[in-house]
Amino acid sequence: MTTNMLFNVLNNASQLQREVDRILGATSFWGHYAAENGPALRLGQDEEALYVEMTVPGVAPEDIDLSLEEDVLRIVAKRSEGFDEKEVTWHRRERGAREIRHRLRIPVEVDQDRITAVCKNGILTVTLPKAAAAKPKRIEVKAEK
Amino acid sequence: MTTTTLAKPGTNTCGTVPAETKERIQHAVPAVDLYETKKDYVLVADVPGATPENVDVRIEGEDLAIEVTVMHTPVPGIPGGATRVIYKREFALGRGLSREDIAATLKHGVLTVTLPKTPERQPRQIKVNH
Repeated sequence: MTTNMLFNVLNNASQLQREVDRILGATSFWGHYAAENGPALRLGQDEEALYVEMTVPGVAPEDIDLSLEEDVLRIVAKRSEGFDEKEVTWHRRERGAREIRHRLRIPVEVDQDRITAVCKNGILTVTLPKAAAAKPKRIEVKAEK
Repeated sequence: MTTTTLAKPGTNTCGTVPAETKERIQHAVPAVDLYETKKDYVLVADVPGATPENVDVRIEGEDLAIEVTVMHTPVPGIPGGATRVIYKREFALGRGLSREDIAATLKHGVLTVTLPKTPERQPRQIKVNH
């Protein structure tokens, strides 16, 4: 009896689910296999700021390195594992690289001193407040007298 | 004269539930690592956003099932709104595992399930006599 038979992973049907998700364009933010999809990332903005949300499971907040160089936001997150690589036998590896790296070009000017980042339960949220020049300006329309 | 009627906020042409109260449900299959040490099998699953009260690890017959529900509300600028994410995956357990001693921990959105081997399956050092 091989060790693989001792502990079988049943969900090969998930391959089909992934394919369905891909065809339907469903976001894989929560989804399946980090190794295949790269870091799961969502972006958004409102009048005040740009927002970046990224899944970083297994990463402690102190192991995230965020930097903004000119208009590029660089995210480096390192996952620490609680074992010695030499002492283990692998049967399945789907969780992807131990180091997550991502570079994002920020399309508008942001207020660098007010950038904040929160990491909770493996989800990182970065808030980049827009610089005054980048915020939309309301133009008052005056009635003609 | 053409009159354009604007939809009330939160409604759409299908007349469904207002967007701000509608919670999306997303089913997901967590990515897992599975490795073996001398004493244990260790299953590691990525479940970002999870908190301990919403983790269910159970043995049903010959299967180990993990189900983790995450309630996630992104910051207002991120599209999508509130989402209930249900991570689910099952594994077939073979013989040679000490089922009573299976333990699970959750940290930084990662679920780790440790399945100890029975003493008979653990490696034994065989003394070579001269």
